[in-house]
Amino acid sequence: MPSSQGGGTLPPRVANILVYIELSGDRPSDASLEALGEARRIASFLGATLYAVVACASPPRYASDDAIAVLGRHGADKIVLCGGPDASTPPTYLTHGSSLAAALERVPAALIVMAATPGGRDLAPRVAARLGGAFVPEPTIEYGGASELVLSRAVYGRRYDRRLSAMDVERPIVTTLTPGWYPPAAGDDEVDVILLGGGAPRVPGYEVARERDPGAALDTARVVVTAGAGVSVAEYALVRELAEALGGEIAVTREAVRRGLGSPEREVGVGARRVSPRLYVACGASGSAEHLGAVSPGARIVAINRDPAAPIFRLAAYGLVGDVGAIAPEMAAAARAGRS
Amino acid sequence: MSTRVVVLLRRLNAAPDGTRAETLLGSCDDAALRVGLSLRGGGARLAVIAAGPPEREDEVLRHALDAGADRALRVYDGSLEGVDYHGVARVLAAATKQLGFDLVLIGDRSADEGQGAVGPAVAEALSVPHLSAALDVQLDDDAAIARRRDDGHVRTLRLPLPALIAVTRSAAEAPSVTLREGAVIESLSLDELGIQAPELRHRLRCVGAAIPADRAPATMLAGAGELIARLRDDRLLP
Repeated sequence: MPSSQGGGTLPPRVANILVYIELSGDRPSDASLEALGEARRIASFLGATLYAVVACASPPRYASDDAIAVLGRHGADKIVLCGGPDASTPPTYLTHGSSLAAALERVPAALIVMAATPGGRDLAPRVAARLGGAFVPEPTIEYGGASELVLSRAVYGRRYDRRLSAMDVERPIVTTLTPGWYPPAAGDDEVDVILLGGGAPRVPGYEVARERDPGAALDTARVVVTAGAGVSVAEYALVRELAEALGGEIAVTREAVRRGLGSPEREVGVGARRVSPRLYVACGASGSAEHLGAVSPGARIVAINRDPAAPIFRLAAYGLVGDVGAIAPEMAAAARAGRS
Repeated sequence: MSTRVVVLLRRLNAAPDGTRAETLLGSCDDAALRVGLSLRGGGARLAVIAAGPPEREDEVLRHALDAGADRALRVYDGSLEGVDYHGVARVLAAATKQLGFDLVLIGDRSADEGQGAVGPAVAEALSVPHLSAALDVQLDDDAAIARRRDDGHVRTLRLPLPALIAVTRSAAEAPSVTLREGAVIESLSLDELGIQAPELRHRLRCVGAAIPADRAPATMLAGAGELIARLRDDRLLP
C-alpha cells in the first residue's frame, strides 16, 4: 500500500472496511449479505480488514445458523455486535443511528458499506455527514491497477457519470449498494466478535401503523415495463400485457400517473419509486432525468417510442421506433412463442 | 405558538455546469414545498431558504412566495460555488437556525445530482433527528407524522420535533396561490451567519468529477421479434 504520494495518500484508516448488516428475523438480510460480499472483494483488493456491524436487541445465540456464523461464512473478518431495537423494527436513523455511531467510534473505517435498502438510504448519508466524509449512493465499482478503486455513479438522468477515486479522498467514504446486483462472498467460520454495550434509544410511539405496500413487487422485480407520457389508455392495457408476457412488473412515469394511467404506487421516478431490474422496457417515455434517475445504472434499457429523436434513444441499449400499440403485442407474442 | 416550518429549496439543473433544467424544481423539492404549504394551511408559519446566487435562486424563492410562503430567504456568497454537500448543509443549517424552526423539510433527492445527502447533513449540523423518503407529513402537537415505504410495507412514523424530514412524492394538493403585495426576498450573507468562507473549503475531490456518460446510442432494431431474440441472447429473458 503506498505510504505517501502527496495528496493521494491512502490513509491508514483504509485498513478497516465496515459493513452495516440489517437483520431479517434472526438472519442477515439478503441485501446485507450481498453488500458484505462486495465489501469482501474490496477488502481483499485493498488488503483491509472487513468488519460486519450488527445492531440487535440481544446477542445472537452461538449456533451454526446464527447471525455470527452466517456473517463469517459470507466473508466477514470481525463482527461488531451492538445494542439495537428488536429485529421487527426496520432501520431508520432515529432508532438505529446511535448504535451505528458507537460502532464507528470503536472501529474507525475508511469505507462504510450498506445495502441501498430504505434503512440503508436513511442511515448512510447521515453517517457520511457525521464523519465529514464522501457519500456515494449506488455506484458502479471499478477495480483498477495499483489498488485503485473507483466509485462511479450516473447523474443527470444517466447523461453524466460522477467518478470518485478512493485514493483521492482524505475522509471516509460511505456508499450504498443496489440490492440484487452483488453476489455474496464465501469465508470461513473463524470470526472475532466485538461486543459493544449500550442499548437502543427509546423512541416511544415511533411506529404508529404499518400496512402492506401495494407496489412492493417493483422493488425486487428483475423485469420492469413502464408506460410513459406517450402511452394512451388503450395502449396501456397492451403494455400491461407485455409486462406479464415478459414475467415483469408494470410501472408508470410521473406524466402517465398525471394522466390517470396506473396507480401512484407503481410510479418510477426520482420523487417516487426507484427500481433496479436487469431489464427495463420504457414504452412511450422521453427519457427525462426525473424518470431515468430512478432506474439503477446496471439495468439494460429498451426504448419504444414513435419519435426517432426522443432523448431516450441516446440512453437505452436497444431501441424500436414505432407505435407502442403495435409493438407491445408483437413483443408479447414473440416472448410467449419462443419460451422453452 | 404556531409551528415554524422551514423548507430548503434549490433550482434544478440540467447539467453539472449549472445549465438550468426546464422545470424549476425537482419533483422532491416540489413535494417538500407542497407539504410546507399544506402545513401552513393548517396554521404553521412557513419560511423557505435557498443557498445560491440571486439570478439562479430568486426564481425559486419568488415561486414559493407566490404560492403562499410567509418568508423567503436567500443566502449567497461566491465562495459557495463548488462546495460539497457539507458546505451547503452548513450554510443552510446556519440560516435555518437563524430563522428559528420546529420542522425542516427538504426534497429527498434532486433529479440532477440525486445524491440525497444535503438533508441528513443539515439535520446533523442542527443536531436533530431526520427521516428520509417521506411520502407525506402531518403535524400532531410536538411531533411530525410521516409515512415511509420500507421493505414491503408503508410505515407511519412519529418523529418528535424539532426534526428534519426529506420528502419524496407528495400526496398534498397544491393549495391555491395567494399572491401578496410587497412580499420580498430577504438575503443573508455568510458574515451575518457567522461563517468564514474558507471554512466551507472547496472539496470537489470529495465529490468526483462529472464527465459526460460515454455510452453508445441505442442499437436500433427493426422489429419486436429481433428485439426479443437479442434479449434472450443477453440472457435477460428466458
